[in-house]
Amino acid sequence: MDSQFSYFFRLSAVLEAMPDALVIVDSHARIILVNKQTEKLFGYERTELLGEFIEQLMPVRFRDRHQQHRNNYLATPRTRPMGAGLELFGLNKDGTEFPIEISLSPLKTDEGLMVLAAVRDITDRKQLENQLRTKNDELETQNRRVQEANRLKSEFLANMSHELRTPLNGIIGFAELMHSGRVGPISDEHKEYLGDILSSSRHLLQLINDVLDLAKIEAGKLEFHPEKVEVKKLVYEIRDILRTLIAQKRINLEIKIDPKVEQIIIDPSKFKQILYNYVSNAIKFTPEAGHVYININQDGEEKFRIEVKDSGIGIHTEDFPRLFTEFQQLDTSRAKKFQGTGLGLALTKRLVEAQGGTVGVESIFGKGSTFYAILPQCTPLNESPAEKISHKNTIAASANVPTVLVIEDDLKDQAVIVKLLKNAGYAVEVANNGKEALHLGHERRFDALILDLLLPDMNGLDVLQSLRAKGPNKDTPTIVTTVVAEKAISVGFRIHDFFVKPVDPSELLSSLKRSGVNPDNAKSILVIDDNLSDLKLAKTMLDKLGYRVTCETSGASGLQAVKRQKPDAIVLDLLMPGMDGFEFLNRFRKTKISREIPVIIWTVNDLDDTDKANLQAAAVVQKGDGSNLALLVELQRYLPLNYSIDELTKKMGKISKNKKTE
Amino acid sequence: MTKELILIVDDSPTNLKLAKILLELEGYDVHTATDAEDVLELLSTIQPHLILMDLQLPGMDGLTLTREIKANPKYQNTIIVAVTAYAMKGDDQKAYAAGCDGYITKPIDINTLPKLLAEYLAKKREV
Repeated sequence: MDSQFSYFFRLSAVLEAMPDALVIVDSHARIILVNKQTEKLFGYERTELLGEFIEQLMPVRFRDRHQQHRNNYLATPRTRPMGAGLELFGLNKDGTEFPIEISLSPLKTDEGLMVLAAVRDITDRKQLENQLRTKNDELETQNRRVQEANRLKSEFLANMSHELRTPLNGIIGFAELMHSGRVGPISDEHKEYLGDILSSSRHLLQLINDVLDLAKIEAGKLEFHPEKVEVKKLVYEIRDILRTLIAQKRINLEIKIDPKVEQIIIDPSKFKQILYNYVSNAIKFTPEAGHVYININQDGEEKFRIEVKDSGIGIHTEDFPRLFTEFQQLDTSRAKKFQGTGLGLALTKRLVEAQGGTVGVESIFGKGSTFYAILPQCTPLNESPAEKISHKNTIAASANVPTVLVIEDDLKDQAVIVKLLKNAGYAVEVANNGKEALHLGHERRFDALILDLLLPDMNGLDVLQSLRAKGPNKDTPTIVTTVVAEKAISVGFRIHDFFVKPVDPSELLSSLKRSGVNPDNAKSILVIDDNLSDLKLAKTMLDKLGYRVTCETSGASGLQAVKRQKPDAIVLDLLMPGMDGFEFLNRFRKTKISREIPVIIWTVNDLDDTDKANLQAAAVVQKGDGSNLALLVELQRYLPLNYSIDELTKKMGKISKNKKTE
Repeated sequence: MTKELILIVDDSPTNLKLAKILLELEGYDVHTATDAEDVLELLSTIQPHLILMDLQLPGMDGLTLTREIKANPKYQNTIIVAVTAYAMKGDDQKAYAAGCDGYITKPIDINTLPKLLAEYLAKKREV
């Protein structure tokens, strides 16, 4: 008895010392034991709690469901946290709530299965979490601001560079004018100093251009215009530009071009810029009578490598990372005497990366350096006519509707996009692989391309590059879809938009619209008429003319349709059950968009002039004049299709005759 | 043979002076204007063979001015060459769309400009 008492005494001492509030609940959900922490946490005296239901300690909104939770627990009793993933709250005697965490353990006793709940107040932790979340939000906002500031900076730099070029124009121009002797004879000294002014100002111009290019790249405004080029010709152009420098230092320049890359597709001016930066650097850091080599080789199947090697001073390995960074020049005493901007290599890196390539350097200090750029290679395609690809994959093509070429091999994705576009009013053609895409794309002009980057037979970007190089789709807006987020790769390719699959349908449509490819080019007309055969007739006629037609059979549904789709014109019957045409007009006129949408009344009513004026409609057309030509003529007035009345008559002849025989 | 008449439009007096000297040295009859108003007034008295048009002008910009001039049948054969400090994308297209016959970016190169203008004028004479 003594030992049992001392055991109990010690146990309760332990319970009292626990940092968590402990509550033991019997099988009837009554509290049979609490410790000091429980009193403190919930604000009750021990005596107020013993024998009470446990639900007393929880907010009212949780009480109803607690019995269910208890039953669940008792069915599978084991030690575990309560309400995993849920936010739990305790209720203090004073009515305040506080966040808690509860750990439950089953206690088997003679009086049945009891539950020990260890309750911990997590108010502090929650507060910390909230603070952290707020901080995170703040950081995110800040980050967005920084990005915006960076964009503004780039924009500023771009504008600034333009402004700086204007006065430079005067400096260089006048100096050249005098230097050339065109405005009269000058002394040799004058000529020399004018030459100095010229070379300094040309250097300044180069700096400004570099800054402008960097700013453009940062602002995403630098454009690439890849075309078929003769590599040799470009390399020799660079050699010619640098000829004076090469001659002055008696540099031995060797050029080697792999025959496999004699013709490539690339933006020639960017290619020259890259090569110029490397070669002029090499010349600068190579001592008199040294060697500079230009090598252009294939690098694997799909890439080529521009390499410029020199016998110059070389670079320490630890300095490599700084080489391609803006405004960083290697500041060793030896390098100091070489004037430079610290922009050339950085710009080169950006230019190469924007085209999906990489740059690098290999060097042994004191022996020379090799700078290289590896770029994706596109050899020009064989221009002989490709074998006929059957056109069974032509889904729809209509002269009045913008046509989108969907280049997609995944049949499921293809079906989704095609359906989406067709429903939105586009005509769609499909290419299942790169070859088909090239065939279709070189054959006719599309209004937009939707291009999957991962095609079974070729890289999507290569397809794009080829279409961009020449032919009818040279500047067709292009939206890229892909399963992998590799935005960086495509930056250089004038891509209108970029979607990672699965593509959000509404995003895709609005992106198409933003690129100016709007199915609304096919004007949409809403026809509201309760007479089904009239509705059918109108739809047949208007469809035939290339309008996009929606039909509604009552004023009410018509009104909804107007809000939903903002048609380009409305054809309205006056006599309808429920909301009739007059009522429709009343309500329609109260909407903002009503001013932009002409309404053509199409009615059997014989309206007098006062009625017509009251309707304030764009036009009133009498129904049932047989040909219904008047309706078409009126519509054409507002949504021009450029058919003459004769052509209209001819086009409609068949339909109206059918109508008459009905 | 009478001198061919060139009108230079630029709001920077220095650039205007430079181009004027340069082209006068080439033997052209050169007139200058610093804004659209000047141009329109001048055009009532002279009929230039070629206009060198700075696109960035105070007030009415060069593109608008070009459109206005080209809209007048009297100047349909006048060559308009756009000059701009901008080398941003689409500027050349904008210039052509407005009716410019050519497009050059600043700073103008005193060696190539006379040649370029001579080519434009020669082409026109052929027509």
